[in-house]
Amino acid sequence: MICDVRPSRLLAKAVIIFALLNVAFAGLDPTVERLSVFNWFLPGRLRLPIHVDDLQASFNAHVISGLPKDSGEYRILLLGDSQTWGLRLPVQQSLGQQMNAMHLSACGRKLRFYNLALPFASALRDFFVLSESLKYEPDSVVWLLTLNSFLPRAEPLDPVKAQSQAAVSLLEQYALGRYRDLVGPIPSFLGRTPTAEAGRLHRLALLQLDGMRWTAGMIDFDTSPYEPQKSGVLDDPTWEGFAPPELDPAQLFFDVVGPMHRLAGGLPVLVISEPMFIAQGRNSAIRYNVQYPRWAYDQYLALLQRAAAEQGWPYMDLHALVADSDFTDVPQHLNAEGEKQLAQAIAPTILRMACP
Amino acid sequence: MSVLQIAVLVVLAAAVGQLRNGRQLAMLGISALAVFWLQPDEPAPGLRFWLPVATLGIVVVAWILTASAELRSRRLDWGAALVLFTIVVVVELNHYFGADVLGMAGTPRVEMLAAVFVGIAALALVLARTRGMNRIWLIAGFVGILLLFIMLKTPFLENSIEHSLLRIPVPRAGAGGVIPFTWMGFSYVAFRLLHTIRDRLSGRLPPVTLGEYANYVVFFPAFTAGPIDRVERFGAELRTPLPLTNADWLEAGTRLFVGLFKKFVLADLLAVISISDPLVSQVKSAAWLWVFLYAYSFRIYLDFSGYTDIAIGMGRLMGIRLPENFAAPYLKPNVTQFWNSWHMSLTQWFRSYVFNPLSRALRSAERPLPVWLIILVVQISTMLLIGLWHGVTWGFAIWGLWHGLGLFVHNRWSNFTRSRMPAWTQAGRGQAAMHALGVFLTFNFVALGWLFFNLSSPELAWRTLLRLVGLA
Repeated sequence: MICDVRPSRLLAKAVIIFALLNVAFAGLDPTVERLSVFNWFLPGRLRLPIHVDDLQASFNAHVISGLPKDSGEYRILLLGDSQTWGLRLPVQQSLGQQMNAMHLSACGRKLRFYNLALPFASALRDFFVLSESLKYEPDSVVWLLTLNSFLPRAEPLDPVKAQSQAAVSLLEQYALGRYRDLVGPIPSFLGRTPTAEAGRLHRLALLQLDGMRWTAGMIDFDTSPYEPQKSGVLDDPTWEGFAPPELDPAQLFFDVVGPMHRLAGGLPVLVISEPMFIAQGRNSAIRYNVQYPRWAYDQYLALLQRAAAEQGWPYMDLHALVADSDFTDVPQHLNAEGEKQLAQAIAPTILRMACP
Repeated sequence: MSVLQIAVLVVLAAAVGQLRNGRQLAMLGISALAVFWLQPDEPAPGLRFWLPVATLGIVVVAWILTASAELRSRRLDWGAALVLFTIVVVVELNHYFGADVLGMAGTPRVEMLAAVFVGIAALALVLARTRGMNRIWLIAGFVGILLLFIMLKTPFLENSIEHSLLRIPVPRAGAGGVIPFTWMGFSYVAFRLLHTIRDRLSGRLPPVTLGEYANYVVFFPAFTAGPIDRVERFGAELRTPLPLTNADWLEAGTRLFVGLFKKFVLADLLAVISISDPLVSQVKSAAWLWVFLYAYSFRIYLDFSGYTDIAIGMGRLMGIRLPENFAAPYLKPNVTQFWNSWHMSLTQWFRSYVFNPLSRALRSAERPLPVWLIILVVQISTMLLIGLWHGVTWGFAIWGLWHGLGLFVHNRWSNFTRSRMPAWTQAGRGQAAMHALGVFLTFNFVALGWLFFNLSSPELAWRTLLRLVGLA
């Protein structure tokens, strides 16, 4: 009879069982991120999922992890930020799919592009993405960057925090240990319990369910209305705490380029300064747009060109490629036509890389 | 309510349940605080404070209206009045001490609040001095609350109040992060108040003190999502000191656990794949649309019934048995039984104050309508009003009509088939098969109805419905 049960004893037993389950989970530390419905039950995604905060799980959801490379494929990875990801655009209109739609081939191999970009620009995050993607046998990499990619900040690194132990090891292996704080602390035993990891586990479950939306209509983000870019900007000459006249590369992520080169090994990497909205109105002599003052961005262009040259990588400066009308809400976000122009601009260089 | 808010309120409820004395006042204090705490951020900062004050003020005025003369002056009520006054003043004093109690550091200056207190006191005095006009005041109160409810539920009128009366700027098109105007709990508060005023007018309202009345209207477990109890039942529960038994603890714990799991695990997961405008516009396959429609159907049930479980569990911790709101509605073999087991406290309210009086009026008319027409009129009117209770929009109205017609068709069908059904359908496997068929049809009828409830326009809902059934 239920009334014979003593609630205090029941509660005590429940607490003990709960604690034991937590300890067991933390002790076993199962790689739950490997459980994925994608690429077997549901088709793999064409872009890394956003808001997942787990790079391993994101890759397991991506088509690249379920598509064995055949000898006729020339595999190209696209690394970058929300512009390359195609934020505000259906996946079919994003850069990777526009390039795939061009059906390029070189030296008898079909070029296939994989969109491995993620919103929030970060050269260091791209370093981790490249590290994770090397096992999928890429033939070359296209790395799209902007000044914000070199801003040392922790938010874009959220996806690697779930595997912070491996991330720290990688940083130390490539002499980037000074950034270990950005990838978050290595979780303690208690930090590995399902109670502590509830948020991540919840997001992993959501990712699997979200696969139904992906399968049903290739839906991988929620659209919302936005305000278009303004032609006028403020007269503020600073950028993220940096004031003119000198942009000190030592305070930025430029030291990631060398390790990126070592990590890529012999892979050809095309470095691109990505297109951005250039304001034409008030104060446009001071700033290119709401994000970048001209002095900082011009110095970044020179620094990036030099860094690419030092590594022997081809470089394209496409910052002024796209007309104002082909941007959406922020200076990096392109509309479908803008992404198409970008695809057409880089295709010849990629073809040369694929068939030198 | 967030998990944190629920956890805090559960602990408080368990503590109140252990009190030997002062349980009512403690409950009232927590409920009044919860009215402030659960009020979400508003587009105009002052509203975060004034809306809860308005809720409590309306409750006090409604009690003055509905209470008998001798109850109004009972000493016991001064305790409840003092609790309400103290809670409002404590929250208000944030302004002077720079504190951030309940996230309300920016409360208005005390002069404004004093003016409100004086206003309520003056109104109470007027009501007391004009006892002969009590019926007029009651009708005015009823109409006033109803009008306020209608204004808040009508998007056009609500926008007018927001932007013209409250001077909240109109958000620019496409601007993100706009905080919606929300008067937390008012839908339920209004229906509890209307019930008491209506019963007072008809002489059926039992005597209730201010403490009992205010507890009934803003009882914190049921404040945001019901159930809508009846004051006489709730008052009796309050007055009966109930030492908690093992069974109570177990029941409370089980309901809380089940409710939290339903709401924060199942419903929140299903939210990702619930049918919505963007999904409908981007998904081409009807089969997937069915999947997303089913996901929404289960999500809305799990979300709402989860909250009810939590409310019932919390109430039980304090020795209060709140009424059930759901009884496995998706397992019912017809739409009539569905509505006897879905949001039962709301349907009970409408049965008492719309369905039954309207039926009686039509049947006792000098030239009564045919029975089938009375059933049609009454069921459609009741369900239309239930639809509009959720919001005065075409979508909710059509959802109400959909169910009204469903109830009418079922009524006529069961009347027609009562003596015509073959014997094999009355027992054994035949009966089970008919039951299963009924459950299947009812569930799908209800699920299709959710299109009008959830999608932004009836046109989109109709087009989606046609796609689902293969006609578009």
